[in-house]
Amino acid sequence: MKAKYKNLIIDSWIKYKYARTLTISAMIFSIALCVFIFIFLNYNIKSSAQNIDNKMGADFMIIPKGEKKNNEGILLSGQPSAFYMNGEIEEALQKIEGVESINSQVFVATLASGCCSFPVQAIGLDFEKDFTIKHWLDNDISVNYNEVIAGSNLAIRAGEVLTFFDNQYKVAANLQPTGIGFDNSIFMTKDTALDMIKKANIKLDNSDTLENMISAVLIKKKKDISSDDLYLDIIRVSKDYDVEIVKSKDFVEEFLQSINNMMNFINILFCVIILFIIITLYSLLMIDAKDKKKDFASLGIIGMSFSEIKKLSIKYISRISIISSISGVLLGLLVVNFFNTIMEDKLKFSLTEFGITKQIITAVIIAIIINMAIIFIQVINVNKIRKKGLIELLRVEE
Amino acid sequence: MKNRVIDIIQISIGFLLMLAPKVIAPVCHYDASGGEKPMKCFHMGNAVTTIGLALVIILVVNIIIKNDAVKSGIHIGIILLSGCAIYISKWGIGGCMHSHMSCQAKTIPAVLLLGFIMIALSCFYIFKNLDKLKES
Repeated sequence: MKAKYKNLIIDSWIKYKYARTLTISAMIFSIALCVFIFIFLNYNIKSSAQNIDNKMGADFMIIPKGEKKNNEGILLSGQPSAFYMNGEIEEALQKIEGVESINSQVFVATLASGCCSFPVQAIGLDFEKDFTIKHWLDNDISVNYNEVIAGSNLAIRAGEVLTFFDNQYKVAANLQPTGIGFDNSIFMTKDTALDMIKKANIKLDNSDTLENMISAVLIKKKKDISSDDLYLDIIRVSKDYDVEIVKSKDFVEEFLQSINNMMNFINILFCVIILFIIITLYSLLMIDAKDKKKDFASLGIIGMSFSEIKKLSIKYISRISIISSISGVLLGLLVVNFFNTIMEDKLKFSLTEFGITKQIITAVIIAIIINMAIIFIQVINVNKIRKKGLIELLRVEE
Repeated sequence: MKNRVIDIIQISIGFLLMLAPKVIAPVCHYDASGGEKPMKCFHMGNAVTTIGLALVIILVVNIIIKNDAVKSGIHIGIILLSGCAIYISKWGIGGCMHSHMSCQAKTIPAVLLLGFIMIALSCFYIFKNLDKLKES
């Protein structure tokens, strides 16, 4: 049979019971979309969460008591918040033997109103002692008073000017993407941060000692000292202060645990949805193949071999499945890239581990696997029909 | 039947595009009573809503008209208008500077997604009806 006539038969199969063709199409589309988003979320969340440990830089964080949740928000997603404690603790901690480097930070949360360019977490630190953000800078940059370093998610580049609390700050440089809250924060010298607190009229418990106020102390331990020994020393020194000690490893483990719990729920939900779609799709394909028994018998009677009929039916289902699965993964690609920020906001941490190349490769693999599975189902269905004789096939329809 | 399905999907997307900046994925909050100057995403939202409204009107006309050549012309117009919505939201006017603000996180992605789907559907329509157009 000529290719032209074969195409006509395929077209007529697609147009015959158009609603069914559309439903099969929608099912394949949904499977492709769900599987792509499922893989994206699983891979991206797990690998992004596991890398947080390496990105934080510090082994211990000392923060005011009761501010653990806010500190998590700053570290993981850069959610603006501010808390303060007396800076004397930094000097006391510095004397501990196992401490390799120590640096304190001052947090300021800017506002979503006319006084500020946008709400952001501002972090004041001593750049000479810093061991947290310097790895993310392209080269050694000296940050002067009233200058800031902007995180990679902020749509502002070096040389531009930002306004916070009606004061202007020049952007000295941009940070490379870090995958944690630093991407959504700005960094400045401690003096600039303290000046910002003054301009923001933030009420402190003891305003006389503003210059001595800090928000967190970050500690990096010496390599030959055990974490537990240093932890005990820090507890001993800080017992006179109203502070909380956060161990980076524990913090990451707790976070990973909560992520795993959430991921289990998402996985179960996705699996149920995908399973439901697969069962419905399988039934639909079975009904569709049975519905074409008469056509297969007629084609057999006019001299078409069974393998030709099989090829024709595979061509028919491939035409539907290729378009639908490609559209599904394409929509998945658009959704995960456009709505990445919303996902980060909801999950409260940055998703950076699943780049566009990996995404495209995954999308292609998903589309190929789905198409192969659909063709396999179609071959099984057509083979079932083969077992019956031509006359029997025609009789069934009657 | 196939063209009718595309029409219905496109009208729904047109409505979503019209409602996105104000209702579904609103731009950043702006308090007009406080005497504040609106941010630029506010103007971007207005522009996209207007384009969405224009798209809905054009798509209604598209359903009424039966001539294939005119319908294809309308679909070229839809591609251009959707392109305008994408350009205005992302570059022309744009949104605020922080990527986690409402306009950057919700409105612009929603407009981009809806705009791209609208363009893809119109391209599909024109491609499918190319033979009919050549005949006419």
